[in-house]
Amino acid sequence: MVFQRHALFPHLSVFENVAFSLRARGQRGAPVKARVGELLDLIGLGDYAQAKPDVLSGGQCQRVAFARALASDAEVILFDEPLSSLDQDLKAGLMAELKRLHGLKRFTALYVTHTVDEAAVLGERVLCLGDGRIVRTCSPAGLMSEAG
Amino acid sequence: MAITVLLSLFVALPFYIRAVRAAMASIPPSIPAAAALLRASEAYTFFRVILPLSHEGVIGGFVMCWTRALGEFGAP
Repeated sequence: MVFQRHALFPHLSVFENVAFSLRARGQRGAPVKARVGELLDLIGLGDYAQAKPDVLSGGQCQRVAFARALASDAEVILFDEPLSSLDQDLKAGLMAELKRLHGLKRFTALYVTHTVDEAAVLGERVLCLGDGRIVRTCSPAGLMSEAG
Repeated sequence: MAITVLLSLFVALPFYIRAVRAAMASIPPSIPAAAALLRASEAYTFFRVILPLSHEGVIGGFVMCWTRALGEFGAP
């Protein structure tokens, strides 16, 4: 899961944050180093491996949170409004980044958002909720045409 | 001696518990939730996340607890 406010472990370095789920499952040594290195290169933060989350920008923290979620090897990753606290420029950049990561890793993502743009750009299938129920299912293109 | 230590512990332990509890309560709930979602066991989460994040309270409580307990020996 990727949280709205990334929920990185503040006392651990970027490397250790990404390695957390691997170590929690008993993996140690070179395989962990290789896997985390690959993921950090994927999100473009290889140079920040030893940095603590408090020196990273909001966008960088969210990228680390993406990498940490990917390292967990979960079949489905839930994104809970991960871009809602970021400004427009950063949001556009991270949406492109997320789409690229999804293309590379092909994981199933359930992405929660209140923004039509995010749903239209990132979604393959859009479910609209109202009063706790699915009130409509449509394609991203359909959503955009209705939103005008 | 054992009774003295036990009684000192009984008197001083609340200082320790209070400090540790406050430190642990200050950890945002999303942090242990994130650890659980990353497939960490409760024990792993405790030693790798909760304890390091609350170490100031653990050390502070330990110092207060010992200070209070040692004070008992100086009392007439």
